[in-house]
Amino acid sequence: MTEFALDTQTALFIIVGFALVWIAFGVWLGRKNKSHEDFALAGRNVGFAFAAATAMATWVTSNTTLVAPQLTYQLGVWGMVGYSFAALGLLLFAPMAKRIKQLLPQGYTSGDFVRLRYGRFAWAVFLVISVVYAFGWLVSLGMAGGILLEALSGLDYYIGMTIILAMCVGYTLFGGLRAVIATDFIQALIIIVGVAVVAYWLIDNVGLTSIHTELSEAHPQLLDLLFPAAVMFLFNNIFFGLGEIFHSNVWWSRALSFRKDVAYKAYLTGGLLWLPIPVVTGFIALAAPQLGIFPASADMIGPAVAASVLGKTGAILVFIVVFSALASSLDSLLAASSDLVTQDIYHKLIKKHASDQQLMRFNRYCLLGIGVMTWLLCLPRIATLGALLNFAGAFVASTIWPIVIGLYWRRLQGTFAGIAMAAGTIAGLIAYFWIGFYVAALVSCAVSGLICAIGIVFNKRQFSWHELQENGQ
Amino acid sequence: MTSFQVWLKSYNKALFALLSILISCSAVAQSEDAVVLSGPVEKVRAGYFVVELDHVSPTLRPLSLQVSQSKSFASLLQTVPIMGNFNQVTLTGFESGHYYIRAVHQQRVVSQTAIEVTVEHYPIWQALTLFLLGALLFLLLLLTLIMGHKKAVAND
Repeated sequence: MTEFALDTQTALFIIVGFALVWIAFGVWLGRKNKSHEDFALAGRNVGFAFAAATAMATWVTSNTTLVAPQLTYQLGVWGMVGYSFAALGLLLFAPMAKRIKQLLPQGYTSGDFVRLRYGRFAWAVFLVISVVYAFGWLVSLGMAGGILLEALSGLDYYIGMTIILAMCVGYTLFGGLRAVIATDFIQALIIIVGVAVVAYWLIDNVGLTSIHTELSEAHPQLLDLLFPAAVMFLFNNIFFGLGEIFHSNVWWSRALSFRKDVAYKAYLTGGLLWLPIPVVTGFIALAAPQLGIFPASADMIGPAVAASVLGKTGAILVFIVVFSALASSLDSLLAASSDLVTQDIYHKLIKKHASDQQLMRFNRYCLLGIGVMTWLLCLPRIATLGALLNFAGAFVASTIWPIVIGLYWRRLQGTFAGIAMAAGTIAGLIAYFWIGFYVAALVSCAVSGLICAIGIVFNKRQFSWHELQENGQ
Repeated sequence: MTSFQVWLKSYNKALFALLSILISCSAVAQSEDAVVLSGPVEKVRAGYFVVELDHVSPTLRPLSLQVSQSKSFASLLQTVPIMGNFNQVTLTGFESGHYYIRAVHQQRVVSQTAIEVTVEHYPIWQALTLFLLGALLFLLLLLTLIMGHKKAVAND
């Protein structure tokens, strides 16, 4: 019995067609890149429309299109609502983006800030966290590409995963951040229109009453507002989202590439546009039992339900929307990670006097290398997407307090910031394995916050903001 | 004993042997067709779990799982169709309790034995404690951010 909504040939035709168009677009946009600053930060001249679109599209990712339905399928209504609270990450980053642009007008990466603000020990801990997170997210995105194709068309996981990775590496390699932001803009439009159409079709085809009846009888826990694991998950997801955005160079490089006074409005708008999307994508998972759909793996539930309700045309639409969402995040993360390695490791530690052209060349090699490493890590399907992402939650949530305090207050010093991030991560990992993925970020953030508070109480020295201006910048 | 009685006795023996062979062949065939189910051995703490299916021959597709709270499957809680040709399925939304699961193909039970899964949710006090801790931490973070932002704007 096969119930795949798309035949393999159609899926391959769409994915290869998309890959060629995006890579050609990247090559065309890349013609304007004359310096490393052009390549890495799009000339620090991105306007409001592109800025808001890239903020929203980058945050709509495998998290939103595949993991939000997965968590709804596993944790019920709280999974869906709790997931939409990840918008708080973008909303709260809005004032921080303004502050970042103000403190580091010539900065390149989030690593730059941590090194200058807290020194080398905290910087080393921060880089380890950033690398683990970046690879966790990259691998989850690569896996999501493979899972999506497998769920919709039965195409082998390895083929789907390889094509989506090759495509994103291809156009980012040629076009840099300029290509990432331009493709994000188009992908954001596709995502908004696509999600709206899917929501309309679902409400029209599957009645709310029948879904509620089926869930109440056979899956009552999904409607229970006191579902213990889901109650624990709620704030965990908020802190995971905050940690992801506050520390990641994906969001810092955007803040630094936007025009002056654009960052605040762009992140606020991006967050508000993003907020309803997980509710819509999560809702479709609640319809699964009513439709008789029980996935092999929980992360396949979104595409499987949508394809079942919408038929072949709908399956193509879902495929394009999810594919766009994956690509818009994958390219951003590839670009931001290679910037971080180029600027923080190559430029600061290995070749301090590298020329602009050398930096740009190294950045491209680095991007290619990260793409290949991601591909290798995607080969064994080590965990479900949700489990993989939430493992990273233990790491990133430990950076929330050091970043927020470091941006606005002068009392916290490097040693305590470094210990806070390391101890928070370890505590989060213990909670991850001891209790479950739904508490890792919460515990990590709590422990890190406590150590930061102790650090502020015991510290006497005030940091001078002028120390952030490196080499007379 | 007449020759007819001797013939009848031999006939009966032959018939019995034939029946024995047929029954044993059928049993072998049945065991070859039997699906082996495996599920979580430890208690399930969040109401969802994965059931794996082994030895699924193509002739047994489409395959379904029956879930019941009674060992005898007197009343069914749900019937779960297995998607495509996959050999596992993720079940969700269970309250605390014991559940029994078996595989069926066209109303015929095809699993060797039914498996038992125990669901035991975390205590609600533990969940609410973590919820309150999260709420408090978030409020504190929000206040820090707002105060910091106001201070930065004032310094501008």
